[in-house]
Amino acid sequence: MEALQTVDASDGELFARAREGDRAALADLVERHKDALVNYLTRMAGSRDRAEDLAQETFVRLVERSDGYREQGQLKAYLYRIATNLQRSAERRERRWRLLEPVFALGVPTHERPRQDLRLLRDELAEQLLAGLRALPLHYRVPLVLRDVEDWSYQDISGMLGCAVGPITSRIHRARELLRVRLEDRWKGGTT
Amino acid sequence: MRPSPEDLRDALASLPRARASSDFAARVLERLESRESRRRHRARWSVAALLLVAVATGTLWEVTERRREMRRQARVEALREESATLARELAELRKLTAQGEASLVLTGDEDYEIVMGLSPWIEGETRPALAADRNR
Repeated sequence: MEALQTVDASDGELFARAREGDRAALADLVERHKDALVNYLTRMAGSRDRAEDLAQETFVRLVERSDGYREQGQLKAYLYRIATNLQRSAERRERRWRLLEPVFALGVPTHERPRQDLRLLRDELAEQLLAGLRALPLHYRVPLVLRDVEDWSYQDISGMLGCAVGPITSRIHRARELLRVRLEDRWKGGTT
Repeated sequence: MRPSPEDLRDALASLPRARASSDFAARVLERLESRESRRRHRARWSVAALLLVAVATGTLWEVTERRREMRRQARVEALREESATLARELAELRKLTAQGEASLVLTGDEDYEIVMGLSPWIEGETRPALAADRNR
């Protein structure tokens, strides 16, 4: 009966219970969104391991900052906003490390993307596509991945980013153009 | 050749999907639990540190107050002793005055001394006269 209630429960209901300390409700909420979130973050970060770490941190932050959320049926958008902010912070940190690296001759280049994910890809085009995605600035990459990889509607993306639909559409268009130019030399026709 | 927008969209949509690990939820809960436990631990330490600071401040205040009180008592004691000494001297003076003419030795040596009679003051006169030069 409880399981049925959990399956039927909306994100908001599960989250309300999780806020009260119901770990089972939180686990259900995590199960519901984990794959999509890990996939989104993998496309954003370029590494599945790192994406998994960021996704776990996203759920932890969701619980820790539950006071900042007002239920309006937008939990998924809120979750992805946290994830995107974490990714943004991670990239900012990497940029700083990259600046410091030559100064301190640091041994561990944190910005180096693990190649494991790429090794799993079957062809070079997909690899180029992922490299192209990673090279895009974050404000282009976020809406493009949400739209073309995660299949979100423009409305949902606009809600998540807190931005009107018009600018989102143009950002996605611009992102696609940048990616097409990048893939120009390697494109042999067809898809992955 | 540049890919068409449709080809690009198809390529992006057909990228292999990454999946979360099977113990993902358990690890989230574990991370949350460890974070909360750390926070509780930190809170306990903060309370202990606050208590320690409060106790140390209280002790310091107590010691300072005690020292101040001791100094105050020492001063009062010194004043009492001085007052007792003055009272004794006054009593001796009164005794001397009652025995004879009040006088004040101004200077002198083994052979002589200059003594000023104080009776005029005691009796209300303004210009006292030297009482005597007397040899021992």
